[in-house]
Amino acid sequence: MFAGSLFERVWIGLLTAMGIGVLLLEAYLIFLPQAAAIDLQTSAIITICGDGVVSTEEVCDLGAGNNLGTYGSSTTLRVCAADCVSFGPYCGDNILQVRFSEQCDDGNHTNGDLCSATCQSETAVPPSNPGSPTVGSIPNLPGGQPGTIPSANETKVVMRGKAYPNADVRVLVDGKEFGTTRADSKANFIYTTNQVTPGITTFGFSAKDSRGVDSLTTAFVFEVVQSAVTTIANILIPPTISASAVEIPRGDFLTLQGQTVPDVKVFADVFAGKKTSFSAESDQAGLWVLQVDTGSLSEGMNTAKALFELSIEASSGYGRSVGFFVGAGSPGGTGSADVNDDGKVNLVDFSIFLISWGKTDARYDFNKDGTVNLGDFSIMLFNWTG
Amino acid sequence: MRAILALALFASPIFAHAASVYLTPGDGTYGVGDTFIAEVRVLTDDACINAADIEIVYPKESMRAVDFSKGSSILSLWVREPVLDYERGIVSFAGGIPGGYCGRVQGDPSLSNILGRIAFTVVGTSENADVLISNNARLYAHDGLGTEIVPERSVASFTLLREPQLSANEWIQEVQEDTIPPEAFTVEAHSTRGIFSGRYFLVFSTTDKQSGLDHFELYERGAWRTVTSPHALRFKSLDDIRVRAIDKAGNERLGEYDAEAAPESQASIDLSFIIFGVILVVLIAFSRLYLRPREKPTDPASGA
Repeated sequence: MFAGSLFERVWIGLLTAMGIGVLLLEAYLIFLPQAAAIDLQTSAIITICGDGVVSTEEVCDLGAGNNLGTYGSSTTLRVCAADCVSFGPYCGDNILQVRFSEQCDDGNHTNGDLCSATCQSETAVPPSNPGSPTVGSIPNLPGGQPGTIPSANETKVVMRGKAYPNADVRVLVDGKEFGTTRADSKANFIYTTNQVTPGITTFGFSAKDSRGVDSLTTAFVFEVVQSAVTTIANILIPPTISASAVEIPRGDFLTLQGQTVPDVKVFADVFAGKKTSFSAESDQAGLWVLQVDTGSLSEGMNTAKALFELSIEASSGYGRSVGFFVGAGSPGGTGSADVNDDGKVNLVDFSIFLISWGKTDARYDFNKDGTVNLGDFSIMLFNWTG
Repeated sequence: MRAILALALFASPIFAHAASVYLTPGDGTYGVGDTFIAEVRVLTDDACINAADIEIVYPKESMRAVDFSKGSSILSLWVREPVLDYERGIVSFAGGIPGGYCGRVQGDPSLSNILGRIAFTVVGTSENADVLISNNARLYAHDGLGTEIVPERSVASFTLLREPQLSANEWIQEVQEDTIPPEAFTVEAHSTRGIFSGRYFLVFSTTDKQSGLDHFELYERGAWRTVTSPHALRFKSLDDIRVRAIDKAGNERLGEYDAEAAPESQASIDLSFIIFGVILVVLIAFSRLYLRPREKPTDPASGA
């Protein structure tokens, strides 16, 4: 009787230990930052340098194959550069272009002011045959077919946007890490590449804030035009966000904070069946903080996420969200898509995930619906870091 | 830092989102022997999506899906490779977009919303050959929760005549024009506890922007053979790993493999074996304790 009782106690002890282990694992998974974003907005604009249309992000565009940046003998005959945001050298640009036979350049096209409208010195002896120089004429431009661009021109993509002050911005192409660039103190970044193949391409952007918190990857799918400069501007990486607690009594104040572009309005929305919105302003370092009265929130699991407004017309999409539980009870949530725990969600995680596809493996059943399926795949893609 | 006491600005209910999946061309006239390309496209109204599970049903008596191109697809990761089921007249595939897809970016010269392209050959006549998106089709919201979106669906209706209507095979023409190899890619070797029993496995992925990626091949024991990612290596050696990607036109690209970046195999320290061992030892120890002969305790009643 005594021995049997001991055996039962041992078994109970073992089962209890295993149960505690499972609970601890569950708690770990539950309290990981989780996502509940609903909408993503975008203010991004694509401009194609070479389509003959001067877009808002462009200074000029002479059309397919004509943006050669060659010398122009006057302002009206200046030639657009290959990036469509500047012109090639021309008479009237205030720079003395000796290699193009300029004798002067006073930045205007007025005769009689010692520098002629064709950038020739007015004290100089005029050339014996003024019609002979070819300087200043637009060269015989290649490519005449409307809508097509000669393949000899470079295919280039220019990406401009805003992240966080002095943050490293990671650039992904079709989900794979492609390069990095650094944002300046105003959070502006630019990345240029000519190492892309024309066609439909997914470009992704993410950054780590000054406290080491990762942003959501913001992606754009568009066509890279052959032999043209495709510029995508207004890439707005959403704010980072973190919460001061994962569980908080209703009525207490919760601190939400993160980083974004300096001196902008940040909207933090809290979701729990309904949406409750709060706002703050970022400081010069892009940091923002909110004290949220949880008395205004629903009891149970809440998720918060933030976006910033650059102007009335331009705002970022929602960033990664953070979960917290208001009141007493048991929080729920999704598991981590970083299945190999290397701090990244990338092709390696995807490969491991595929092995359990269609099975009941709880490790990869992030939404806990009993099967490793497309819902779990979607959660993995949401958390993708490349 | 400007810390402010936040007041709730407003509270509003959360609304569901709409999206649709459709085919282009939506109609047309073809003849027996013609091969044409139908594009499966997606429109997201106010939703962002990141995964799609699509099934296309076509009349197998008059049409036959002869190939599938991922070439212009916005999907870059495929959890279920395209399957052409000739018996049932069904084409299905599932894939995703890392970072999500929120619709056409302002200024994009193309719609950039193709999920996949199907080459159909006409094999019989029909006044109304309907190709439709199955009601099993699902999109998934880019919301971190894997929320399903049931898309609106449309039907493409074709008139199929006895005489060919096309001067050339659209699909062959397109494949023949593709002279560009798949995108550059890297091959990584990994070893993770509990995966393939800790053996090395290779990870690789790439895309082809023209005719589309067809398959990967691994050079092993003197020959190339078709593989998929992840691929578990049979042998421990990581020397001479060569993986190439081949597109529909036969253009190939050799992956870059960094042998020095390969990790140590973790086959010998699989955590599950350690846990199992510890539990076994504990059980044996307590079983011995339980089975050891013990002095029978004195009955308190008889001792009184």
